[in-house]
Amino acid sequence: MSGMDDALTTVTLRVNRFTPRPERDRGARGGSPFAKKGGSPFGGGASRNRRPRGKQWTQEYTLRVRPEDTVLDCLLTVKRTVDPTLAFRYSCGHGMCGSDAVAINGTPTLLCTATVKDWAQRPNPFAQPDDEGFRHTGDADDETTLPDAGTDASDGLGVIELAPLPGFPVQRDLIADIDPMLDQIRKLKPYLQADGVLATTHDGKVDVFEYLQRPEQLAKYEMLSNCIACGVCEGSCPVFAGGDAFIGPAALIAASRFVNDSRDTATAARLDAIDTADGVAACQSVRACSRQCPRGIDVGEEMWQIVAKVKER
Amino acid sequence: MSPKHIEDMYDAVIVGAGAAGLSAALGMLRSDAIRGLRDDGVEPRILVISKLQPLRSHTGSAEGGIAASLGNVEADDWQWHYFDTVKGGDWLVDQDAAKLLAEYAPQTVINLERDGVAFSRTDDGRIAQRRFGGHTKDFGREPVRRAAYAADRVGHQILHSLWQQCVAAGVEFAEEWYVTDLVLDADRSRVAGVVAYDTHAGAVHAIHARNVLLATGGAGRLFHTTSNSWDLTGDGMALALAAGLQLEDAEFVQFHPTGLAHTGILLSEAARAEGGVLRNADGEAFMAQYAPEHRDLAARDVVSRSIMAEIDAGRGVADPKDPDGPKDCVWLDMTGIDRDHMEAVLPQVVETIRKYANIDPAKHWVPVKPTAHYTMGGIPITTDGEVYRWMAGDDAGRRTVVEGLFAAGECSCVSVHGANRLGGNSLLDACLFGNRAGLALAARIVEHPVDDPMADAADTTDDPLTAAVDAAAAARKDELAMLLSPADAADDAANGASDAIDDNPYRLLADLGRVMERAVAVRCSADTIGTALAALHDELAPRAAALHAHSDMAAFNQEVTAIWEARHLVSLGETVLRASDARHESRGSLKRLDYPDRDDAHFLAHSMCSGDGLLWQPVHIVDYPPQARAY
Repeated sequence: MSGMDDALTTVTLRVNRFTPRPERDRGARGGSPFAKKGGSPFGGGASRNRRPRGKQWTQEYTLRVRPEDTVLDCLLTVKRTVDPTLAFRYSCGHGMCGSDAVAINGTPTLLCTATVKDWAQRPNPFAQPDDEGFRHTGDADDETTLPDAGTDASDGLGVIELAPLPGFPVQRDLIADIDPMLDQIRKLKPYLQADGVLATTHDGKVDVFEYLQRPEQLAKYEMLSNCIACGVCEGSCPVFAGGDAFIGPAALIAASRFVNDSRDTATAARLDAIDTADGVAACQSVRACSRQCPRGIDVGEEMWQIVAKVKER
Repeated sequence: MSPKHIEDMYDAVIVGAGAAGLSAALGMLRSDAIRGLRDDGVEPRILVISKLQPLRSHTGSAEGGIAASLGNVEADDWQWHYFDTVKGGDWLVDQDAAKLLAEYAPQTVINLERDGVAFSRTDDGRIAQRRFGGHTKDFGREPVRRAAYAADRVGHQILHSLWQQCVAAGVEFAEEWYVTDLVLDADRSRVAGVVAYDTHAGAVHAIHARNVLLATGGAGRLFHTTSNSWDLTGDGMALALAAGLQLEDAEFVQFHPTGLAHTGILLSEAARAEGGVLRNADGEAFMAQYAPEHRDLAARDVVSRSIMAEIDAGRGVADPKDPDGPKDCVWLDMTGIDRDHMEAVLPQVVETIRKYANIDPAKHWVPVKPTAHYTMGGIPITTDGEVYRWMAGDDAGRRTVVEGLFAAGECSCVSVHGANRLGGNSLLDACLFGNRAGLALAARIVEHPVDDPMADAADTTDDPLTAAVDAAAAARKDELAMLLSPADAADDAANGASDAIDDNPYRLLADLGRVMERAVAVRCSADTIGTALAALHDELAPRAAALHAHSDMAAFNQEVTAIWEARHLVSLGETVLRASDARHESRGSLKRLDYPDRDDAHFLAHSMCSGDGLLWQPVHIVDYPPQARAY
């Protein structure tokens, strides 16, 4: 983004903004013993869907960009040159830290891996169903199926709409409270429970060695262990984001990672823990969770596998 | 996640939740000392404060490996690792510390495996190991496979496993809290606590603690082109400076040779370990001339300087994304690596190149440029993680420990990296010395636990310290109110985009990064340092002092944190420049164009730089007297 003068085109970011009401304005009501707790034993439920109170508005920023710039690049330019008050999480900038999941044009994904050319869209053509009756919500580069989007370069690449990650309470602008997801992951004991047996030498002395694990055993869970807990799969899941008390794909991936790890000895307990109405039974096999996983995990397929494991016990 | 309530006094507060902070927490809680305390029914009061949710820590971006002489794939010896570390650091390494690092590396890596890290494996199920720059067998004779790896995501694996174990251990976190002050007693001899800002509530808290450990990571954001995340703003180092403590060897900043062109995103050294070759504009594999023996796998400072030499000689190339821009890159040729092998062992590298450069590395050369990567220097610590001051005056030539204050990881300097860190040694340093600091913390906690049932209720020794923390918190609250008060033009940006907003911390950080990069990236001289110091004093420091927030709403006001980060970086930048200015020699990562040679007669010593001035502390030479450093 350094050479702004060489920029080729423009894009407009349409950002759903939110500022919470100051603490002192709250608490006028509340305190009702019936409004608290309840819901899912996994900590989702009521608190997750509490509608946050504050000021909401939409703000547009038009920037000069290169088509290959990321949406995060654009937002950092906004902070630096236009509006330092815009709030969004970001850290590593290359898809490893998992902090910058938001909804781009309604689709949960990471700011730092989304490029302008992939996500900018003309406002009008997309609002209409295409010849086959589908309404496009993404895939702006799939131009063959789109109505003529206009070729006038003067109005740039179009619009990218940004909103906080669905399924989680908004805290400010694009920042959502993902603690419910982390609580759910924590509830399923997301840590290796091995037998702890120390290897011994010939003369019986304790010798500290690694647990042995052959490459093909590693392959059974290696992909799952790459999860960065960004929440994209959760925001994509209509059951989770729709407000039902579902433990969610991220926590199930974490559980599955240990179920498939040959070193772990707690498989039975792990499968019991997710064999509940709000556990695997709540998954409706929609498989929307797979589409944008930044680590390439086929979350929906993994859900299917873990459901099968639970049933086959 | 925020603590449900804040204790009146903590046994220990850990600041930072990357590999070092989490290792310290686990080392402490798993110690015999703390187990014994719990058996006696006394629960230690511990809090880990982190400005990010722990899983977002930059440890997760480490790619290549963690070094240990496991000898799983070929014969290795920790003495060789020890020697390589000393040599790699250009003999500015404290050898007692490097010895511990090498000797206990296998134990550290095995413990990580037993904590759940999904290391890549040999066919017989042992932890797999690969070559890494500067790691050799037989004291420099030939490269050795010493870096344990997990594809190219070993940092991610370690970070997540450590966090998972902290979940198992019930560690309490204060997440997205930013520490603004380290508070010591009046004569800087004992820690009192910290002041922390809860970014969710926008509230300042006084945190009283008998022990504090700083593990805040590095300071790559001093530079415009960096592999570091946006959060690596040198907070712990700046907190130490502000508390009147010293930084050791602040002039040594490692530039990783292979950042992806102008993005600065790191392409792991593993890309060269697996057969990648650096080429100049003429297509020549130039490393053969600079380091005939180890070529593309020479130590990082050697490779970075060689790249800069090629660029200076007019043999650089432009970033293809900016074809008319400066020719400040060279090529990384990975086309000799089998495509399937590349996908299997370098998936992250391949993905980064595809995603951020739109290049297929199996077919085309990739533009790379040195990128600010690691601060070898930091808060001076003993091998048990205790922060100390190097004394002048009556106590000259002595280390004086600041009671109860610890540090670990990149923000600290136990001096295992000296003037240049070897690849694979940073995760090792963070985990190994983090664990050691945790054990030392535990030993102090059990001596005098907060919840000691035998404690004298009339004990008032904590009182002056408590008052000091409260005073610092009150001052910070006042400052926060000023930063948020809608001063003159303060609110114009909040309600709409205006073209000409006044200054803000994000703009200041960008300007600081450019000043520092011009002055001291890879090479420097008295002139370039002087220019940067003038810019800092005349422009950047006054701008930092004048910053204010553009929204008066405290909750999730990221600009407030960014203002404090910018001020931290400005003070740290000044220290880096002053330390660079004082060292009249070239050693490791520091290349002084005006003093091109190493000068052991005068500078075989650590710089100890604070607001009070700069002192020199002799290097601990134990086994390996200085030699010429050639690869």
